[in-house]
Amino acid sequence: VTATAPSRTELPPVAAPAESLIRRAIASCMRLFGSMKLAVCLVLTLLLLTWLGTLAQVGKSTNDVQREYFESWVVIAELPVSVWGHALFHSADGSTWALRCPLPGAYPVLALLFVNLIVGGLMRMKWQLRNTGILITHLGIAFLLVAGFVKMHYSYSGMLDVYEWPTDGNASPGRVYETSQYRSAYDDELVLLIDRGDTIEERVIPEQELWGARGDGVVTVTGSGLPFRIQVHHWIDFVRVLPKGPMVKTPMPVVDGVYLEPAEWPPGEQPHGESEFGGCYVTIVGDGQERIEGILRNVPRGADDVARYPLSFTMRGQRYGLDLRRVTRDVPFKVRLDKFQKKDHPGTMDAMDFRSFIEVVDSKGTEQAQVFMNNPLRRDGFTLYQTSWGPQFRGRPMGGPPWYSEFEVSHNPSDMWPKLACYVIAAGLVLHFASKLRRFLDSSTRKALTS
Amino acid sequence: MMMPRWGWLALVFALLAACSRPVARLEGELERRQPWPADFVARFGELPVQYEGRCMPVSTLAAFTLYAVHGQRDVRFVAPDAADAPDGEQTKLSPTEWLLDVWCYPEQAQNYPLFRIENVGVLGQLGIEHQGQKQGFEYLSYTQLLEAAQKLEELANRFEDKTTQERSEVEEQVVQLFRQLLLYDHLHNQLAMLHGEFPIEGDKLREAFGGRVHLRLTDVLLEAGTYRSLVANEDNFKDPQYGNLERLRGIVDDCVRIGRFGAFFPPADAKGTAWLTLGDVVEGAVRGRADVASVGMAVTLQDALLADKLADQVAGLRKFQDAVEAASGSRDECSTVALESYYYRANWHFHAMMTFVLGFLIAVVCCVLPRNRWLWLAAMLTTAAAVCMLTADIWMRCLITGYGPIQRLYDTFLFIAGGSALVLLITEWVLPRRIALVLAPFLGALLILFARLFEVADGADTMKPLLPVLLSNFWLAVHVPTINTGYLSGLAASALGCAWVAMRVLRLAHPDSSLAKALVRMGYGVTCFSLATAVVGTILGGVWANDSWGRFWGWDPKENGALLICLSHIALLHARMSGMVRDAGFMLWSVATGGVIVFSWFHTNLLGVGLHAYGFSNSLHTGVWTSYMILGGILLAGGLDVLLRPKPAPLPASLDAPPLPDPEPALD
Repeated sequence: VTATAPSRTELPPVAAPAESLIRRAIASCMRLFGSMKLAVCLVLTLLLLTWLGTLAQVGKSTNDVQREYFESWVVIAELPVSVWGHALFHSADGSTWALRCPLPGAYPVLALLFVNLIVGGLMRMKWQLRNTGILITHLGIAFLLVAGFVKMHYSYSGMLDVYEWPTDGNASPGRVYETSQYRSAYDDELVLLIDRGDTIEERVIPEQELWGARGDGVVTVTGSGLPFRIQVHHWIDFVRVLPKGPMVKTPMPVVDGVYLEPAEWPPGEQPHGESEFGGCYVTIVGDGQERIEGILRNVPRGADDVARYPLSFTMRGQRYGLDLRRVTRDVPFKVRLDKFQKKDHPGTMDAMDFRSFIEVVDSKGTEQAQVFMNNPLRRDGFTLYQTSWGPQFRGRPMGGPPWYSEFEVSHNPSDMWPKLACYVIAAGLVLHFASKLRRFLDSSTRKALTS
Repeated sequence: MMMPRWGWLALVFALLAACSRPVARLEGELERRQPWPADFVARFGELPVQYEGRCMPVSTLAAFTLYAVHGQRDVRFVAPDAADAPDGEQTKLSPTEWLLDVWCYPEQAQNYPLFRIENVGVLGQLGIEHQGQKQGFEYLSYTQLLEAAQKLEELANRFEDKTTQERSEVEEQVVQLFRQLLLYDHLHNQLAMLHGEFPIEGDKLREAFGGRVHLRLTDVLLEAGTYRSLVANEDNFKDPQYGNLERLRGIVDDCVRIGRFGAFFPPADAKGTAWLTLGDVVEGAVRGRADVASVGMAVTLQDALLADKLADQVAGLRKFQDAVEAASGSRDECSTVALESYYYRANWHFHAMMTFVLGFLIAVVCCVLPRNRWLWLAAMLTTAAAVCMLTADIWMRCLITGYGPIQRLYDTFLFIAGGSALVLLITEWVLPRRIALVLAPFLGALLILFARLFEVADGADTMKPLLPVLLSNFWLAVHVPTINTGYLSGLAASALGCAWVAMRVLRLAHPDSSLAKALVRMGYGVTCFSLATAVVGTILGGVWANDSWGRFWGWDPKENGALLICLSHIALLHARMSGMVRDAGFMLWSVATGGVIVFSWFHTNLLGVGLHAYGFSNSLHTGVWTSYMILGGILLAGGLDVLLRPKPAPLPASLDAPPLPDPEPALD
């Protein structure tokens, strides 16, 4: 019996099953997204973005740069062309001419890097003993990126100011001595206040919904049960209010003798987003077409929180108020400042230490705590940090005592994740590089190189 | 044509001569004709003084004031008429001697050539005649500058309205000169009121002070009750019987106002931490809060200043010092004054620098005589000894300040100098090819030199108290050294890259030789170490920021700088693994990473923005851009060589080992 192997040409043609096509497509995707070359490109793009984002902070607030470069999908990055610190070219307005280049924002880059890390650095990598260190490291970095994602999307923070509790009972009206409210450092909201007699009802519109009122835009706001609508126009992110003198010409509307003008930071000074307050014009149009014009401007509010200047009006016998303020949120406890203490370096007015002795009150009871630099209070998912104090002017006491304390309040579900990630990454790197060094020390390559 | 050996020597001497600067001539006559006794100067330098929030030896105060005002640690001049300093002979004053002159011989000190003018355009702006820009600097005395003080103030106020970037070089120097004048003015006039006696006019006024016709300031302090009752009654100022009471009150008020430079008088209260200036002592006395011990010390000080002979002055100042030390002996804040005085006298980092230089020379000889194992060992031990000296220096700074090894930008120089030398020494031990042996002492010496230049240029106390956010020994000891270890090992890798480029461009070794391959291996290992420490250090910084400022990451320039180093290393290692770069690309990238480290380490401080404001300094500008230029030049030279000569002719087999496998295996 002779057996002859069938030749290839004799085999009947078989159509590739759709499943294998999908598999091949998936494999191609895995190869693409897990590619080390892609990783290099992404890391280099991130490097470029970080560098340009750092340079951009010379003329912009860190918060603006963060949003523009690191939380965006696309950015028109600017590179100021200078040598030895001197600009090579100048724009028509005298500022440094910058090279402009469109780049992906850090957000998609980091997202892709995460995918790349999972696919290439964990799934496609061989799970061998010798790769243990690098696998742990990749796991730690992926965890760190997740922590960043959670922080960006699910955390919020703000400022809480509170005056020292008046032990002598002489409380000054308008000062905050105990509070559970804190204000965002950057985001504004428009509030409609409705006087309900015993209480004030608040209806809130976030700032983002009013951005359409920038320039020539008009945003109309309505609400259920309201006998009027509010037209918001001439929205300005950073504004100052000026009186309209007889010699002043302005394209902006003048209301009650004042008008809004965009504000600017002095040259050479880094803008601070937390000190930029917006403003806008409002026209309240009643159902009967009666019109009330007004100006709203956000103002800094610290421990003197009642210093608000709402636009108040009466419509059909009901009192209303319109206010522009920082987004305000609540913590699930009240904070009372028993004492603020500042110690200076001897013979100077430079702070050596400042700390707050606070009482935290909630339904569970009262807790006493000290909050100072590097020693925050963590409670109920919120963290209180000692940030500043007052009254002061550029670090020098002005007007106290009594003092007030300023805390940053942060709610971040991933608060402690970076610390955990740090331990994981450190362990992975040490394991990986130590094992590589040991292998190298024992290797013939070393002997050859030292010969 | 070859230059003869003596020709090189002549060239070196000519260059040195061209660089040497003529010493300014002192105007007027010398008041003090004998030098201060050396033992007294050394001892007096330990006098404790509280300044800018901490207790320090007076020699430190004098040195940093001199740095800030004069740009040097000593004052040199030629005194033509002095008996002990014949024409042409230089007089050199140490910081303590200079301070003693300012205190005891203010009329002589005000003629010292003190204020350095680097650009004669400044003189032009002030309306002072000059003979054009010279090789050396011009110096102005306090007397000369006072004549132009009004103009200087006007100009400085005008130029201060501009940002630092907008100011021209001359405008910037005018602003700085005005600040220097203000600083020196405070020091010069600090004890001015102790230098004379004022005549008392008016019978009743003389009677009130026991019939004296002249009064010292300390007499007023001793009879402060009388003074208080005199000035409390406004009618006395209108009564001619009280003569110049108004003038006396003016003098006392002036002393309270201007006697505020350094606090020499320990507080009477054992729990008090703020020492008293002469102004405080006078103010306390005339307001009925006299501190008897401080007044007694002030009397001793005035007796010393008014003594006719130098020996009497020395004796008086010794007595004053004894009194201050007796009062401050048990105080905590003074516990490190003696150690600090020793620290600056011992100057361990200078010795370390010189030892590094010695180690470098031995290492170079070792390269010339590669077979000599003893030379290799000598170079290793010398460099290790220098690292030990630097460690001792850093350790003493830790003991003095009570905090971790790195608190200020200045500290980073010392830490990185020692650390990078150590990393390269270990590299040499792992792969003894003598390249790291040469680079280790070179980098160490260079960075200590930079530290000294920075200290002078910054002109500020390098142990100044810290901001509250930094007062955490745990984080200062953990995060800061870790991230700086990332910097230093990255710099070491960059130095290895520079060495590789130099070897290739100068045809010192073939790119496929075992030496070049060993360099790549070294660069790879050091980069891995740098990556590990930079990543861990950066994340630790984030964890610290989370505890201090309420966020892990804020895209602050300093944070971004640290991230840039990590990203550069990560990209480099992955590019190497994926085959995107090979030896040449790896080493050139390492050189470029040196630029990233300079950006992170220094340039972020120049931006003047962000939360890490404690690290700002404007004195780094030239150094940063010079580093960019040097690294850019090396990168360009290496890049061109790789492009134009991608495949140099292979080595004969007899000359070197065959090409070695790639350092990094594939992913599996």
